Amino acid sequence: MIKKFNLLKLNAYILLIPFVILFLVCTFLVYYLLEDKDPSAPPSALLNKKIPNFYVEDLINAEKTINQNILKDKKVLINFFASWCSPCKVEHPLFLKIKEKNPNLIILGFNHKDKKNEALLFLKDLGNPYSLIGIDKDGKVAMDFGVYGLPETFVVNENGIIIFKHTGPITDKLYEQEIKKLLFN
Amino acid sequence: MNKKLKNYYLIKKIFISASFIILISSSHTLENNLAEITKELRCMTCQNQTIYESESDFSNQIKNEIMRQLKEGKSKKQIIDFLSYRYGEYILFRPQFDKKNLFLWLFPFVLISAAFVILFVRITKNRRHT
Amino acid sequence: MISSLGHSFIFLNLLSIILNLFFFRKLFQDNNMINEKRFLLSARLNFLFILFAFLCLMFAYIVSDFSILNVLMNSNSKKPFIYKISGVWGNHEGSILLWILIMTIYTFVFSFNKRISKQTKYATIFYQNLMTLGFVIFMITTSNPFKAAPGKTNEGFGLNPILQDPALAIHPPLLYIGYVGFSLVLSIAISGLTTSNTNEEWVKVLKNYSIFCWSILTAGILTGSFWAYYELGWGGWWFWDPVENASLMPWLAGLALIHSLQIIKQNSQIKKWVIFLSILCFSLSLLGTFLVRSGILMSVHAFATDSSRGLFILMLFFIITGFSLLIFMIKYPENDKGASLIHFNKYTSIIINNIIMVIVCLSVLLGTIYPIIIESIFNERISVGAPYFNSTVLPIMLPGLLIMAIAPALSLKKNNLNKKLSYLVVFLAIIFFALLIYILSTINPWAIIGIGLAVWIIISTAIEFYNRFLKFKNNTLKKIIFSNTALISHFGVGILIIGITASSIWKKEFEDVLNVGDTLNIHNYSLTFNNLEEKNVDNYQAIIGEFLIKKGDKTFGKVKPEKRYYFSSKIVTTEAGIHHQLLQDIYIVIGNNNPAGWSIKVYHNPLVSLIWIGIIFIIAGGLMSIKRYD
Repeated sequence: MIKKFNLLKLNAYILLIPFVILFLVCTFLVYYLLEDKDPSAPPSALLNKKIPNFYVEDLINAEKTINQNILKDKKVLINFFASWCSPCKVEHPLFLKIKEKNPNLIILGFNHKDKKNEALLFLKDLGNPYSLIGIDKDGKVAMDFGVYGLPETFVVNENGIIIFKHTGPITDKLYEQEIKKLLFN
Repeated sequence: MNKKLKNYYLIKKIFISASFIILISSSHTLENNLAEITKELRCMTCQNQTIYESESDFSNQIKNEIMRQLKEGKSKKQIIDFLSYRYGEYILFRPQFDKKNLFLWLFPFVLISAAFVILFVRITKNRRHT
Repeated sequence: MISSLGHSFIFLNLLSIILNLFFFRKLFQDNNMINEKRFLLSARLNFLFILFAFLCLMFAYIVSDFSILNVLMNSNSKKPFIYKISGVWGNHEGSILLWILIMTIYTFVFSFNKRISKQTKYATIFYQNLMTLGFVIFMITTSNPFKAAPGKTNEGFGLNPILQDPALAIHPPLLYIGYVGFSLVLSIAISGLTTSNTNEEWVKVLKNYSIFCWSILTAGILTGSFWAYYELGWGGWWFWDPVENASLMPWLAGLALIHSLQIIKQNSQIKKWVIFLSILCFSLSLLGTFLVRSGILMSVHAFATDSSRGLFILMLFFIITGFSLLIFMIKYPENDKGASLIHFNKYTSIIINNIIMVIVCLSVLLGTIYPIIIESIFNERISVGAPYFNSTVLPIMLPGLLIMAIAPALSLKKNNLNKKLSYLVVFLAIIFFALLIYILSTINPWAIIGIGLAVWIIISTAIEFYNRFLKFKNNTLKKIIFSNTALISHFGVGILIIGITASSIWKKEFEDVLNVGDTLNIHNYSLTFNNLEEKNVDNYQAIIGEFLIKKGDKTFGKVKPEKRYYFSSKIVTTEAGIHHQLLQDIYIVIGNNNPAGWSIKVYHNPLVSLIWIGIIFIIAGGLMSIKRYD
């Protein structure tokens, strides 16, 4: 008698398994959909990691070099750009606006796989929001930063930890809602 | 031509061809290694394409970097760690065998083993009844 | 004009569905002839209205009526006629209309069925219409194909050029006939359960529809795969892309379903399992649709989407699956005697097939959605790609394929294998030769396993066919063939495995930079880059290369790989030039134009044709096994 009862109960449990799977699958899918994750922009791998070391030539002043030490104890905005990259032009005015409002903020630009004269022309035409610009001619720095699609923007905190990363042009909304908080808190 | 000189040329010939063979075979295996590694890497700027198949800028740069590291004598694991540190595990088409992917890797094999054990038990049980 | 006509047909359709559901209720109160007639009529009208709506949209595409947003976004007056027609389903809205059309076609055809008991039939139509209603509401609220375009425009944006291709023109309808057909399978299964009527006729009807859907789904996957082979220019034909996985999952469940339907007579436990598989098939079709349409997965052919559509499809998936499972749980038939698994008979072998297919299916599902789970929990993204599926799915499939060869020869009841000895000899001979080749040569062991397996399947199938031929000697050959269709499909699987093994292991690649006049030598062939011309076709500009393939002095043929630039969408596509032969394909792709010349990629793919031939055998076997019972 008892044995039969157990058997029945086991069957009922087995019947519940598809339900459980259905609920789990739907929960994850709904969560993922509502989070509005972008399938083409994966979360950055370098988030919460220390920034990589770099040693590059300065675009404006050819005799100068730039390395990671200049970022010490400061919050810094880092942006990878190039003159051939059209989305970079889209976000450029926003950087000018940020620089204008916060003259003390260090914005470090990396000129990615670009020709020097074209890059200079680009800045002359559109204005230069950057405090410093490093030349990343062969894309070596970009690789260390895990950059794959221009433009990409990083926020680094006082301890040299990357606390924000965005692939693609940054927008007003993104700046107001996320980047601002991270930079000035 | 005296014998000594002849020998010298022969040795030189053998030496050159041998070094040539070594050169070819070493570059051959390097290329094989490159193919083996890039066939399991995602081209981050393409849609679901491997770096091996892709001709995009990104893929070419990664191919060059891997080739450079292979020539330095880095192992496959070191190269994969190098890339996944920078681009995340997303770049690996073969998910790493670690704690978070344990379920993914074990699920099919555990399930099939369990199913066959149950099947076997039922068959032998039925056999005893009849 | 067309737009309002289309709208009114959709409205009429909605009306007829609601009427139909209403008449179904009346059938219960007062079951007379008039009510029955009304019920059937409304179900059939339902199909006609959607057909008219569909024809309206097609007409709008043909005459390039750009006052309809859908036509404006996806068509172009210069597009060739055939792609104007296929453009109807080459976009989200139109394909949902096609989905509903196919759903109602199935209902329409089924409404003439006379075999199945009336009660079950009406319940089936009821469930089918209930689901159709869900999709019609989905179409009206989120993806109206007749939405008017803002302002007046004279030219449309054109169809995504990747879709302007003969294989892709027929790919979606075939896929949908398979996918959507499983909805009817589900309805039949559930109504059999609710009306407690799972007799022999019910089984026959279920069997016919599921085999038909599954065969056409196979054809749909074949066209998709064939397209990927020559269009993507990577020389491969299956990439374990999420969208491919989405179509593979219901295919695998369907495979389990059509096999378990073969042994359903045995006992009612299998009946439960069959009903469960029917639910699984359509659920996975819906889940697949969700994965493709919601755009949450990165894929070669993701549709442009928004999340409200995704949520709606997910809701349909949840409701339909949950509801079906609920009925399954409540009406779960009384447990009778357990399965009679006495060591090894046909029954056991089909159960093993089912276990393997379902586990493979679940593994593909897990692999496809695992990145979503990981990202939801850890906010990290991982990829689950071909290496994962190859190293889990293939080893799991292996025992199933081994057993598959002899399963048709196994006795249904007894523990007996016809001509045991001959199978044993063949098996041992194959193992012996495989080992011999493994020791004596440097051939890749996977190739030996694959080819050995295929030979085993082909020979075993041949032996069984010969046996049956001897047994039914006095029948006509046609009759013998038509009563052994499973063997045809199994033979196709053997051919397919040879094709897969050879083309994936012995595929060779050659890359070079060539100019017109240069010659490239691969194997014994010489490829001469004969000519390069630019050509303006209706809606694109093409660079067409011409390669002369020679073996010695003998000219084998010409292939013309292309690179196309589509004006309206500013997209470049590649069309591989392929020289098909039975034993090998020479596959040429034109790459970028460097200063030194054109970079040309050549793939030498042995035995690829066997993949397509094998699948055609499988489909043929499936379609031939559909029986007329009248």
